[in-house]
Formats: sequence, C-alpha cells, structure tokens
Amino acid sequence: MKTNKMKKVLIALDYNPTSQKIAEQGYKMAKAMGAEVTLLHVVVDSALYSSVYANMGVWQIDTLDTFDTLEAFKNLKTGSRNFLEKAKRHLADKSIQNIQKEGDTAQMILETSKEINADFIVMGSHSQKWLENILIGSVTEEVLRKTTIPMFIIPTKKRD
Amino acid sequence: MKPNNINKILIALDFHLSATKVIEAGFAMAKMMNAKVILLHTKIELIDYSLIYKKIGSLKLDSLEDLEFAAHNFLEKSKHHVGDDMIQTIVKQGDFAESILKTAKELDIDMIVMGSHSTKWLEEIVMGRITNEFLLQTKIPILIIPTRNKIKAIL
Repeated sequence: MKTNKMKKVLIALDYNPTSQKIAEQGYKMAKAMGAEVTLLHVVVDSALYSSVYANMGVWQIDTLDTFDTLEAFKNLKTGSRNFLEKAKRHLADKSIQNIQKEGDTAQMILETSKEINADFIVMGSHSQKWLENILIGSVTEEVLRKTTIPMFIIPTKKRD
Repeated sequence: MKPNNINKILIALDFHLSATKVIEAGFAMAKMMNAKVILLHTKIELIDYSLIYKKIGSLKLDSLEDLEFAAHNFLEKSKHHVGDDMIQTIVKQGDFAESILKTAKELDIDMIVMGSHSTKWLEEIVMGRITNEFLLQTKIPILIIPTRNKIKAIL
C-alpha cells in the first residue's frame, strides 16, 4: 500500500452561502488526514447557457451582441477567481491550490479530480438553487453517480 | 481552528459484495485521522428480506435468530478483516437511514462512512425528495465509497 503518498482533497465550491461551511469542513477533514487541498470553482460555460436559453424564443442568447457576451463571460471568470481567493484567505493556508474551470459543473469536477489525481472529492449536499436542480439535476447527485473515488458530503440544510 | 476533531467514525455495512471495500476505506480513513471505528449493520425487516432474497432461492434466511446471528457474524468477520479487535460493532433493526443517523447521534459520531450502493436515500435528501425532518437535520459529514462497478457484477 502506498500509504506514504500525500493525499489530495478536491473541494468543489459554488456561489452558495453554504460554501464557507463546505470549505471549512472539507479543509478540516483534509488536514486531519494530512492531505493537500485544492479548491475548485466551475464557471458554467456560455455554450451551456445558450443551450439553456435556446428554447426561450425572444430571449435567445444570439440576440445579444457578441462583444457583450464575451465581456460578461470575462466578468464571470474574474468573479470566480476572486471567490476562490477569498475562500483561500478565509482558510488562511497558502499551500492551497485554486483551480477554475469552465463547462458542465459535474463533468468538470470529475475531470479535475482525475487531473490532479485527487483521493477525495468534497461537496455540499444541498444546493439552494432548487429550480436549477429540477431543471438540470443536482450536481452533487451527478458526481455521486459517476465518481470512482470516495466522496465526502457535507450536509448543508436549505437554510443554513 | 482545531485541526483534528474527527474522533469517531461510524461505518455502515450491509450484506453487499462491496462491504470489504467500504470497511477497508473507512478503516484507512480512521487510521489517518486517529479516530475510533464503530461498525454498524442495520437489519431490515424480515418481510423485506424475503422480498429481496426471493430471487436468490436457497440463500433464504428462515428466522429472526438466523438473521441476528448472520448480522453479528458478518460484523465480526469484517472486524477481523481489518485486523483490529478494538472496533465496536452494533446491530440495529429498522429503517436504514434512520438507524444510521440515530446511532450516529447517540454515539456522538463525527463522520459516517458508507458504500454508494446504499445512498439512494442520500440522493433523495440531496434532491430534496425526502421531507423527513430527522433526515434533514443531520449535520454529520458522510464519506461515500464508490461501489457501483461491483453492483453491476451481481445484478
């Protein structure tokens, strides 16, 4: 058994008030195992947005001009970077690695876990985006269904 | 922040081919964290067993005593598998989710470990399909060991 290898924990965060709790608990667990921590935030990519909005008739994304769309997307990425930096500062650990991805959240979480060779994935149980859950399914549930590495689920109540 | 306050880990096992994998992973985790391990097996009602085992035929359990014996035997075996006699074992009966969460509360558990095949109820909590307050009140993190590949093997 390769017990000497440093374990790696991937903590997936989203813009949710419960993210702080997930980051703290995931971090605590990682430290208890003496593991390295990577924080991940996924920016939903524009293609997904456009497919979600494609059925909305007059509100189609291609009615916006391209420049605005690009600009909005850039802002999304900057926001995401700041969000992760904040989380890292909150945990007060410089060794934490931050990763930003674009695309389908569940897929990106699984891909990143493979890329960095993670031993565990940490996620919250609930998403407050109940409407999103109904429309496109719970991200946690999807990762849970497809993961090949153990997953650490932090219970987050709907109102926490 | 206290770096390590995960002191007690509850590993929930059922009669599934993946039980070894779940206990190995849970035990390794407990060792890393220097935590105490408690093994829990929840017997479901005999009537459910007969439904489940109908297809298996000869493997039918005939009485409650057999079931009790099998449960204890199973946990003892699991305990020996990881080679730690200090592990506490508990057999309960009733609803799977409720018994896990109740036991976890009673024993002041810091983390629950279980296989992904037994997470139907968890998915339901995640998806918000379960409204049972008791289940929603859990604050204990759950470590899920993926066991799906093995499930396919027995189906």
